[in-house]
Amino acid sequence: MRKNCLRKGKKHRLASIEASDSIVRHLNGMGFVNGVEFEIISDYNPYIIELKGSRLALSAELLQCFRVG
Amino acid sequence: MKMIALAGNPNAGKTTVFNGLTGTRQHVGNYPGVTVEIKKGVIKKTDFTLVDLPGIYSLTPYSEEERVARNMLWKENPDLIINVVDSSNLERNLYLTLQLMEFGIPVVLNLNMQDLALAKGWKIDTKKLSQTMRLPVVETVGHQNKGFDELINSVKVALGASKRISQTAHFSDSVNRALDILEKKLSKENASGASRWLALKLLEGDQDIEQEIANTEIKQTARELVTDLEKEYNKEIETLLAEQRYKYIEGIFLQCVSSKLSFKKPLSSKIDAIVLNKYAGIPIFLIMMYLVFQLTFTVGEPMMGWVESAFGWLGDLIASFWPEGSESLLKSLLVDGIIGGVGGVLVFLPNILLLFLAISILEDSGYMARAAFIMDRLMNKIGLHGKSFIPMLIGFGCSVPAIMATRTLDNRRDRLVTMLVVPLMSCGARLPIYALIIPAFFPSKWHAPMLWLIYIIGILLAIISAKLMRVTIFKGETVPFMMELPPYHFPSLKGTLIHMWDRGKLYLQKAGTLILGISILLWALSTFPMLSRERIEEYDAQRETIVQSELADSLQAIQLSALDNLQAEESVEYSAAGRLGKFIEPVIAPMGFDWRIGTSLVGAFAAKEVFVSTLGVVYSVGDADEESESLRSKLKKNYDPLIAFCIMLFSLISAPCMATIAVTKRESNSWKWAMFQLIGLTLLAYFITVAVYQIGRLAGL
Repeated sequence: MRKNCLRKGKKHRLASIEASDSIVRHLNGMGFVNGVEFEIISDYNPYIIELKGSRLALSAELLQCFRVG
Repeated sequence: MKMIALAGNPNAGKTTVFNGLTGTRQHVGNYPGVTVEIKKGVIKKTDFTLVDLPGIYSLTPYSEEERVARNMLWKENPDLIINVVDSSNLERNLYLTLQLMEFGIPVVLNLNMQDLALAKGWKIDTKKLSQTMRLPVVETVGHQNKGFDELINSVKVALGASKRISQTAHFSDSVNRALDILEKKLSKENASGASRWLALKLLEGDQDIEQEIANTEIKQTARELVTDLEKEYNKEIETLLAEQRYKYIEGIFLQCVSSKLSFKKPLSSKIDAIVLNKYAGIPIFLIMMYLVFQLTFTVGEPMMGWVESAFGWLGDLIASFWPEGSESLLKSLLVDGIIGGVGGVLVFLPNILLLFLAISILEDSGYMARAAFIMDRLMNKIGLHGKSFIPMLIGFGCSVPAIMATRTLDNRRDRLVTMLVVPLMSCGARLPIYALIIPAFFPSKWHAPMLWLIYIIGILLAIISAKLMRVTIFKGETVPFMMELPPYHFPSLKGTLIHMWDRGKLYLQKAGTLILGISILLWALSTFPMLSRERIEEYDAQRETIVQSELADSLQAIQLSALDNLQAEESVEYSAAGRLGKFIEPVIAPMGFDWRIGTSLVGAFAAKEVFVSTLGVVYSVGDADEESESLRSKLKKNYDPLIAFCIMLFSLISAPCMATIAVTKRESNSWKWAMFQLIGLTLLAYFITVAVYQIGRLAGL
């Protein structure tokens, strides 16, 4: 995901994560799986994401590995 | 005796459940070879051992905690797992539940934080959930102490009917067919009953498991099956398995959870809007840290005084068993060596208890995750995690609690780097050295800037060292920042106090073992060899002459005190510590130091502030402190401002006190890192001080 694609208050659907296997597995464990919807709450690095009712903080560097549909 | 493992995601309220199930019947230790803590307890009204596993997201390890948790389940084979789940985050938490079910050990699902789920407008049909997932489900509200009896009863029933069955029905037929093939092959070689789970891990490409499987034919079959599955579904295997798990969970969630639409913004979101605000976040964080600092050091100060007085009283009591003025080696060992040494370290116990009280409140309330979030941008620039800032800040008070505070860091590399640079934050014990030297050598208008300069040098060196370590000995992929921001809640008093006591107990145990040994060693170094009998008799004869003289009492007292100081100076000079000071004189001379400074530096290893009192002894001014004018004038006669600055610089950078080294050893679980800290910082101090002194001399200072 390009940084400029991220809009505060906008919902995104995750298409894939392009990162190392261990990071992908960890993100899967945290709830980031293909097809899941998430919302950007804060776009000030680290970003705050709302996912299935809980809040997660992710670095911008990590968010760049996200491909959204 | 049955063993039960307590597993759950981070922030699911596992510790509260652990405390509720075990009460005070618990102890903390470390897993062998790693820094991860293991907490064990006995479940109330039973003889079942409960093992609290670190918070994890999955059984495929990402962090050291996840590896420890996975290995504990795999290698120690508990009889049952209690899976603590945050009910208000059910969907995400059930991902681990499914993996535990795949593992095969019977699971009791504990829906914790029911109050938060209700506040979200959720109603979870536990009966339906239990039927659908085919496992016992028990509701609890940990911080209100609700539901623990029901949980214990459920555990008892489940243990009676326990049978190891790996559940993989949530995967597609193709995946299950692949698992069947691998399981069949693995069960011939593996008698643990975990063959299906091992088959699943082989499909997932878990490297630890692959290493454990010696049969190359099985591994080849697994690779072929993975290729087939990836071709069939047109996606990578880990994505495929994760998607199938979440799809199953989504179905369960829709069946078992009914929700009323709530348009109310959750309280946590409202608090976050202020606490994590772009502009207000850092000032709020600084205020919080200031409060932690105040609680630890300002509130702790009178308590430190009480501990100090208690040890002083104990020392006097022991000394009173000998006639007044008599010299006894045993008395000196007990009073100066053991009571003085251990007391000097235990004096920090109130700080440590208060610090962990504050940290526990911050962690349990949910603020600690926010603090790490706020500081991450800054700390990331020096290759550290946001959470590293808190130990570094505490380091300005005392390195011992600061190093213990690195426990809040999840990543071992970040934790070790933080631990190693914390002593560069100038601790409170160094302040007496600066307070003695700065007024003696620098004009009053330079006092504050000079003190500021010393602190800034420490901070800059910490930043440079951390950055250097991250690109050399601790190089590797930077761990991207990703963490959960748990909802805010009031910490429970019981949980907070247990947390505080756990840490305090570890510190007490250390004081009773390692520090006791080092105290005796340092005492021996500054006591032996003693002055010859003839020399002591000469001093006694001189005392007798003064007492017999016709001088006024006040003059006699002055002369006797001067004689005592002279004898103390000669004793130190004659002792191993004094000889060590003289021995190292050629080495420390390039820094402008003589044997007196060298001897004081040896003493400072016990505690930095001891430097001042040792210097007082070697300069025959008796019990000196940082306000001692007589010591200042002696220093002024013997040294110049450049040497004075070098003393402060060396004290700032060099090896921290023995308590810090001991605590680094304990927290890193390795003497290697403790020695690295000791030798590394001393060498760094040496080279920097030599450079400053030599350049200063060349510049004519």
